[in-house]
Amino acid sequence: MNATDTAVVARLAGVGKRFGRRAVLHGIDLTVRTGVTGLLGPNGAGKTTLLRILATALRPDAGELTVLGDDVLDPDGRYRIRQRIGYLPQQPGFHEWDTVYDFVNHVALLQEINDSRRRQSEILRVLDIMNMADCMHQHLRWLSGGQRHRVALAQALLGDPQLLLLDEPTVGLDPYERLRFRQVVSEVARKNAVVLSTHSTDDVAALCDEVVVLRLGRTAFTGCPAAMIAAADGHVWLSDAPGPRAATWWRAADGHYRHIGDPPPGADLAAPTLEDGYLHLVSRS
Amino acid sequence: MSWHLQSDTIGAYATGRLGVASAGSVEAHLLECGMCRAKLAGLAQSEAPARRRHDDSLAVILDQIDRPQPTLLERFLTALGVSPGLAKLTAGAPRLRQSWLVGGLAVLAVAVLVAQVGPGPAGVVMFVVSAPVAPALGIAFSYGWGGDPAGEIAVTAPLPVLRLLLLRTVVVLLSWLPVAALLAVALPERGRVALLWFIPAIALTSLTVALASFVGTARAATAVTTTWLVLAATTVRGTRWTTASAWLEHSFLFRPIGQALLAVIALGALVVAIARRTSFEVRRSS
Ligand SMILES: Nc1ncnc2c1ncn2[C@@H]1O[C@H](COP(=O)(O)OP(=O)(O)O)[C@@H](O)[C@H]1O
Ligand SMILES: [Mg+2]
Ligand SMILES: [Zn+2]
Repeated sequence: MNATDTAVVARLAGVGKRFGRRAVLHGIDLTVRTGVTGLLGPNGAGKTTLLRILATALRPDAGELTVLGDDVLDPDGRYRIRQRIGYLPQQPGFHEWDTVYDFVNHVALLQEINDSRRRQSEILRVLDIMNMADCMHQHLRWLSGGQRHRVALAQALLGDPQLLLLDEPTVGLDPYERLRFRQVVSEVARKNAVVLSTHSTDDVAALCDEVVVLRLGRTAFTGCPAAMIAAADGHVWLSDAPGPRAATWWRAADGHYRHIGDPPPGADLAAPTLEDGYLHLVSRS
Repeated sequence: MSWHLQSDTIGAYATGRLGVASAGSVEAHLLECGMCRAKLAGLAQSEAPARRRHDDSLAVILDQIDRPQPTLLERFLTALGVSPGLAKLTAGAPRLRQSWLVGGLAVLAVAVLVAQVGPGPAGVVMFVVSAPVAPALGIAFSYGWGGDPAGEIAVTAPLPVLRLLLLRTVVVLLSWLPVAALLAVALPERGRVALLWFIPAIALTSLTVALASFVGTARAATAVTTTWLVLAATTVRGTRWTTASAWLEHSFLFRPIGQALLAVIALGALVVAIARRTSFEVRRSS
């Protein structure tokens, strides 16, 4: 095994998924490596479906997928994968009457962390990381949205997973919590792989080594954030008046009109940002 | 908790610098207070070298609170050979268990009352027909109505979902069968008739587990119990002057052949559930 092989955590080749007659993912090819991979894309693009497939919650119905060297379609492989991943669903449900500690304990037992001493220190470790150790005996239904979110994140960290899958982990976090979250993810990504979906290009700029843009169930872009910015090179224009032929335009805070796509007459080319790159990729028809 | 330990007290405790008497009162507070315990856990981590010799008493303290004594149910399961972790999981979410147990009890209590004071055998019939329904619903409820609320986390965990489901099913049956049998003693009817609910209870439970591999526990329980109630309601009949056993045996469900058939169904369904165990391990709804 050479150095580049060890960095590959998941490999998808032609992965497709349909619900009934409706195809939601088409031929996804992707290699996930150690570090942070960001999934961007409009609502309905298939981010959650892709994360569920990686988490072994859904079976792909076309293509091949190995996670941490195991085939997701093989029952024994799936078992080994599940031992080594952590997953934050987009809408994690809770046992509302449980305390924070009991809930995380429940997940730790499902994770087969059977030695009670080890389980206990692992629970304290993840609650401490998410700053929830001081309310571990509170009942979940009395917690605020942000606190519940941190509990959900904490359970995903149990057992120090080699692949951490986070579906919209930064939604509803305040700026301080977001900062804390970024620290946690950066720490995890030093040794392991993190795949997260987000609507925030700020998250991508702050965290991601690799970006995948999904659009209508296909990958519209795969590459590093700098390459995503470069994708909009020559497509971002500034002018004093709006030009309706552009794919998107808006009035920026400085009073200029920013266009992505066809420029209005007399517009100046501008240096793209990560957000421009994203908008350019998803607004192309 | 209206008061908390001072940080330096916690520090002194963590490094073993407190006398026995004060350490005792600190420990008493720690047993009650999650916040101070968390502070202590944090301190203990940062002061690792100094704390070594104190490790054991700290571990004991944390143990007592964070691993409460196993409940009766947990100890019972462990005695049956279930691992302590699995026993804890099975016994978990007690609220979910209590709701159906109470509901089922209420229905049976009404049936007993009707049997005692009402005219004719309607109460006994009601008892026998409704007693099998509770454990089937209990399976759905022990996962939360509409499935385990944290189901998406559960299916992606390594522990096989069917193992937990079967264990919880056993718990549901073990808590329901004795309760229903005790209440059956209060029926005016004795002997075989008062026990005609027993095999159906096991059959409905087993069928619910098997069907759950296709449609999830909530829908499975609804379908199985509704079918049972409709079948029973349309086939059981009699008059005010006939006996409960005549009412019931008007239906094939309660004749020996029907009971034997239900026993076969119970076993068959269990085989189906085990054969389909991997289908419990992917999520079904959106
Ligand atoms: N269980 C399901 N059954 C049917 N359609 C689904 C299901 N889950 C997702 N979809 C559809 O698949 C598409 C992609 O959804 P999703 O993966 O949730 O996208 P995203 O997370 O990017 O918003 C959406 O159109 C959604 O309606
Ligand atoms: Mg989504
Ligand atoms: Zn305190």
